[in-house]
Amino acid sequence: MNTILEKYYKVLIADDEKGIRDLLKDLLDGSFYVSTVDRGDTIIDELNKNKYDILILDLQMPGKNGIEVLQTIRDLKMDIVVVVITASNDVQLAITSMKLGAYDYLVKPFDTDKLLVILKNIVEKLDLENEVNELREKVGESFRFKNIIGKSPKMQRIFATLERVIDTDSTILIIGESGTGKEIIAKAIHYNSNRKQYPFKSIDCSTIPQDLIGSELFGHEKGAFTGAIARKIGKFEVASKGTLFLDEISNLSFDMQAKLLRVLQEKEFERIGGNEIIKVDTRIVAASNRDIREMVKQGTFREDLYYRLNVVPIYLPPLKERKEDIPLFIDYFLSKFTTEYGRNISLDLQSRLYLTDYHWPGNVRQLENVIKRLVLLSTENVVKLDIVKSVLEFEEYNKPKVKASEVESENVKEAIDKAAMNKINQDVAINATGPVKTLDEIEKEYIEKMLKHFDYNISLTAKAINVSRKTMHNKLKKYNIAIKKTVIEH
Amino acid sequence: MYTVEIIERVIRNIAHEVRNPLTTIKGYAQLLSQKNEPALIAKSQNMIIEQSERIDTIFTDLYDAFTVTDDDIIECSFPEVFHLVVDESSYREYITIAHNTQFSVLLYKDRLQQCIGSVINGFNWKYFSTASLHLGATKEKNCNVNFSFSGVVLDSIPEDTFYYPFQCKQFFVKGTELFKIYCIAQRSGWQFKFYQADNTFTIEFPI
Repeated sequence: MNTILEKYYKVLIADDEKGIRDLLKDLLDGSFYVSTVDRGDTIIDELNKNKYDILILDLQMPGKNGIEVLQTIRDLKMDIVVVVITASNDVQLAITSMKLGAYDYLVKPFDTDKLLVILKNIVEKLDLENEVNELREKVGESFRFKNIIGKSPKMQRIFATLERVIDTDSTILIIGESGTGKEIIAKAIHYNSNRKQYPFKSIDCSTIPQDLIGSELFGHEKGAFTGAIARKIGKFEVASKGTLFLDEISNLSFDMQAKLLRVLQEKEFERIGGNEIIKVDTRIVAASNRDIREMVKQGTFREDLYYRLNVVPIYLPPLKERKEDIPLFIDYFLSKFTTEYGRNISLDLQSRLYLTDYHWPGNVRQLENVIKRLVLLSTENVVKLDIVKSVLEFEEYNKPKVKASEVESENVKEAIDKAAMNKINQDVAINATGPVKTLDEIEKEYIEKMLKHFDYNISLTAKAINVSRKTMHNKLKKYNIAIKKTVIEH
Repeated sequence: MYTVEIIERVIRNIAHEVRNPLTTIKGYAQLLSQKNEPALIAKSQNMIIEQSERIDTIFTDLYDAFTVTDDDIIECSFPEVFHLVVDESSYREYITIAHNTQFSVLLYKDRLQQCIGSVINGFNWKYFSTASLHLGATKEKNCNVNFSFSGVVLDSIPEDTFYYPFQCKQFFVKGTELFKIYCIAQRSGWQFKFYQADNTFTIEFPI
């Protein structure tokens, strides 16, 4: 045993029998820090005075019996693993002990080896929990308000507001454009709150089909619907005592809004296909890039749910309204990607000024992508303004064009299969492990793939990538792209 | 309660009591096979001997509790009978004796002295150091000998006439003290009872 365990954990032995206390002390000394008590009514005091990891508890003791001690430990939510030892072989006592949270149960006279195996398992469990806690602490640290980039007055005001409500159970509604960092703020709320040791779960209401979202949120019982082959625990339940982030909440169907409202009001729900009422204590942080007030006026979002969610509203400003933060983001992303890709890249002053002054329609996410591209594409150690402009020009092509096409042309909207578009974007995207491509090479490859996708229809392709037909023809000429099919000009 | 259930409970309590020293003996024997430190070897041997003797003591106490001495019914006067036991006890400082009632009755005097000794010498004075005991006797239709405790609440002792061995170990050192009084009472035609509200044990004799 001495070779297996490190002397790290503290064990309290509670038994009125001196012989047992001596034996266990002799057995465990060297592997654990060991203390003993001989009365049941002194255990809780001792646990309050000193931090212990494991309690070896005799059930029959003067002052307070072991069952009462287990109940107190449970009521006070004490963080300790309890191994029950008893001279009674009453099965009911064993069941009661386990129900009250005992880790294991040994009947005297037990084999010391059995006790050592139990303790070894507990040590493994505690090691694992400590590791998880350390990792959680590290993750939490990165989401501390002081570590979130936001020196601008607008962001500082947001942090100040959040500090005031952080440890309350208030629902928080974050409104902000895409890419402004709504999820980061939601995580910061969680990891700065007194719920941080419990789970943070998020669900994007815009990406999950509405008929599945109920199952995602509330879970379902086996056989609740076709395909429900096993019980599923929903995010509400998993995040109990923690935080649930409902991203793009404006995409929730009216029916689902009603169900969500009930959970917010009653703090309870039933799994789909189940009868058991499950009580939860989950903090809700919701986010939307749409004006929910407007949706309420239009009758597409429940007013009562809006007021339930909007207890603490946070308006996350777009990047162009917090320009003071842009240089900080540039430095942060530069440091991140140069480390990640092992490159030594910096930006010259003009590039920095240009990037700071840019309007960033895609907000922080776009800025991140641009810096990533610059780090990957640059052949020089110092990135010059012309490269920055080219990358931003490419950005202008890339992201908004699908949306533009959706708005501008119903025909094109129908023609564009979003999944296929994403595939093209991914194909053309820079491969970190492959050779570095020039912007021209990337643009040529992109146009070729888009043409192929639209069956070499130049008009549709031009609309889809948001350039004029004339520019399209110029690009074809510039890159010497052959039209492989008879071109049907409209 | 059926006799068989009583026997089962008595055996269960005895088994429970014996398992503690058995665990120590077994544990040190196993420890000896794992560790070879001279100090531990010496300690283990001592513990094994000590705990074996403890098992012997448990059975001796039980036998002693069951065994009721042959005795004759003789005249017994109060409060003198209390003094005979209390003056010999190491715990006399905790005990007071009522002197206002003085009378004599015919009863098994030695047996009564055993009962008084069992209570005053068996009570865990060391732990309940603020406790005290008042001994008194009354004579009306029957004669009652009362053991009234103060400074301690004997709340976990049920109001009963029968106490299993080791049931009241929380307050009594050996755990067989009340069982012994029960056995004597049964053999002598007496009633033994605990009144929780008064914190008082009573032995009732027919006159």
